[in-house]
Amino acid sequence: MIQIESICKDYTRGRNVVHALHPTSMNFNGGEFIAIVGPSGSGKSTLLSMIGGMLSPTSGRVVVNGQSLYEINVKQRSRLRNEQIGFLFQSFNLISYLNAIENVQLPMTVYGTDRANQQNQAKHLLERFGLGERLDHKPSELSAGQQQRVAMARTLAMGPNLILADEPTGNLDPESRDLILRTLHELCEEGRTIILVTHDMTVSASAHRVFHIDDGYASEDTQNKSRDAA
Amino acid sequence: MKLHSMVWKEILRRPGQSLTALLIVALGVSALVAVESVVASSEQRVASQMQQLGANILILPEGVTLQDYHAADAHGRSLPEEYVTRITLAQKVGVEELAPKLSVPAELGGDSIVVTGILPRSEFYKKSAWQSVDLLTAGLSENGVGKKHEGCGGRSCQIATTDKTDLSSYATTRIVHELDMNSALVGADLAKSQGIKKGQGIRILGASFRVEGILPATGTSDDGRVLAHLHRVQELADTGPIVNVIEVMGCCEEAATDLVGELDALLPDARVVTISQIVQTQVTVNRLMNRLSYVIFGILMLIGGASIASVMFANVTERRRELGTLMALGATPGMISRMILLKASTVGVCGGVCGLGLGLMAAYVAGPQFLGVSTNVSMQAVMIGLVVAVIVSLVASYPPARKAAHLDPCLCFQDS
Repeated sequence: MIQIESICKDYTRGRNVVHALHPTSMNFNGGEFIAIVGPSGSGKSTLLSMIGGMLSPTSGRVVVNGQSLYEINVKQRSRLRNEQIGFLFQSFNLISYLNAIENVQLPMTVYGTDRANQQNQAKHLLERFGLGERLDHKPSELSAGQQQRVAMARTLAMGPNLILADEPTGNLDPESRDLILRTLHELCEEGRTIILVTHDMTVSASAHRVFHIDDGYASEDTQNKSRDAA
Repeated sequence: MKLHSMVWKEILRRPGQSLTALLIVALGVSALVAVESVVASSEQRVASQMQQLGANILILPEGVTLQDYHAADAHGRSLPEEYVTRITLAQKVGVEELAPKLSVPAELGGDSIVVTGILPRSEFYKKSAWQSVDLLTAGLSENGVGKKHEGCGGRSCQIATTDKTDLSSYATTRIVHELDMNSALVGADLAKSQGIKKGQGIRILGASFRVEGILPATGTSDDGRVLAHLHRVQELADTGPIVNVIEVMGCCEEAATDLVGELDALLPDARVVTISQIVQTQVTVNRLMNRLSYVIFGILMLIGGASIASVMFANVTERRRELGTLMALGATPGMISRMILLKASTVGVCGGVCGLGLGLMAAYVAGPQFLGVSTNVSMQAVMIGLVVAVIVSLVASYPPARKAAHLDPCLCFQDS
């Protein structure tokens, strides 16, 4: 479902070329839970941005559901991101002046869904995450765990089949972290692909496949794979 | 939720920023609307003063001074009446009305008075008919004697605003539409001193006249005169077809510029004088105020534009993360631009409307207070103010909108 073909990312600073990510190839199938681990500045977020169609690779291709992300125009890529890719961020990235239900409606606002459907879908998702009583609450009126659940509801608003999560549990208490991980696994069981960036080994331990990135070099942790197989 | 409601919520979230930009736009528009409305009132006042003044150009016989004219035209010199026809046929741009006059001494009730012959408008039709100038007749009914002048600030010709049956309108417009050969108009002072009433008969220059109207007091020498048909006065005084003066009502800008020279060239053996200082001063003041209002508006719009640009740049920088998140959620660069421009146009429209309100309030206070006339709203200024406010807001916001559209969406993965 997702093919990453020899993508690399170089940044040029003056005469120096910084290799943020060396040529990397990966293939992910629907329903897989992938963890990408590595130290800070190793290139994890760069890889995630390129998979999400937000950062053009210096070379290589990213194919999502048969569409090569960087061979279509910006508008088509934005549309694909809106419809097929969901993002979950460490710092939630909720919009402070919108309440919970409005934040969840955002991807649908971008898509152009009519108001009634937006409200029904957003309300349904927030209720699913136990926030039915907090629809009108602003992010500042919610706890970190509740904010991440709102962000999770927003991620699912358009029913994406690929979810990219960048340290989604990094700012959460253990209880909230477990809830988010459980939800991500549930989504995975529904057939969605989850790619999660983390440096929390307990989080990566539950993944189907784990990739290590260090200094721009990515490699798959085959031990994890064999453990799965066992 | 729609994009515009999101923009509105964002404006309300950061009211300080938006209010600053809105205030400057509002000030610019209010300055324009207030000053332009006051200028419109001032123009109305000038027009009204010019009407009260009567003529603003005088065609006098050679050697006659303005002082002689003001001394009841008793200078004893004359011009051929044919000059009136000559001016009429020349169809000069800006000539609104012509009022030829012949003043002769007479007696009424034992008192020495002046009888002034005037030519009613109907006589111009007759002249044009016998001169076979069809176009002139059409022009007369619509625009006055000469061709319509576009530069008179929309001021209509006096003929269009005068009640044709009201003979007393002569006091302010120098025009009567119809005047019978045996009818007369009597000045206010003379009527009062001799107890003359409308409808009464009087005898002057050996002939009987019926008083068709008493002129309102004007504070001029007309208050002590009897006015009768020019041709009747010529006949009774046995002067032949002559006049003492031809009063010309030119629209003010033309009177102050080209028209005097053109009339001078047309009538080389007459003296063409203008009450130029009055006309020139009024015209200059109006032009100055008009220009000043646009200068003030321009400066405030420049400041407003710079302020909006600065506010919007700050806004985009402050919202980098939010805009990056929207891009991650699928917003296109075009949609991000639209959000910024929608905010700018909202500020522009709100600023324009607030400025319009402020400007009208200022004009309604300043107009009656300083000019003594009711304020005329300048619709032109209103439209220009609103349109320019929105355009300035959009133009000033274009660079920040462009910057926003080209933000790196990866920002939302950073700064955690």
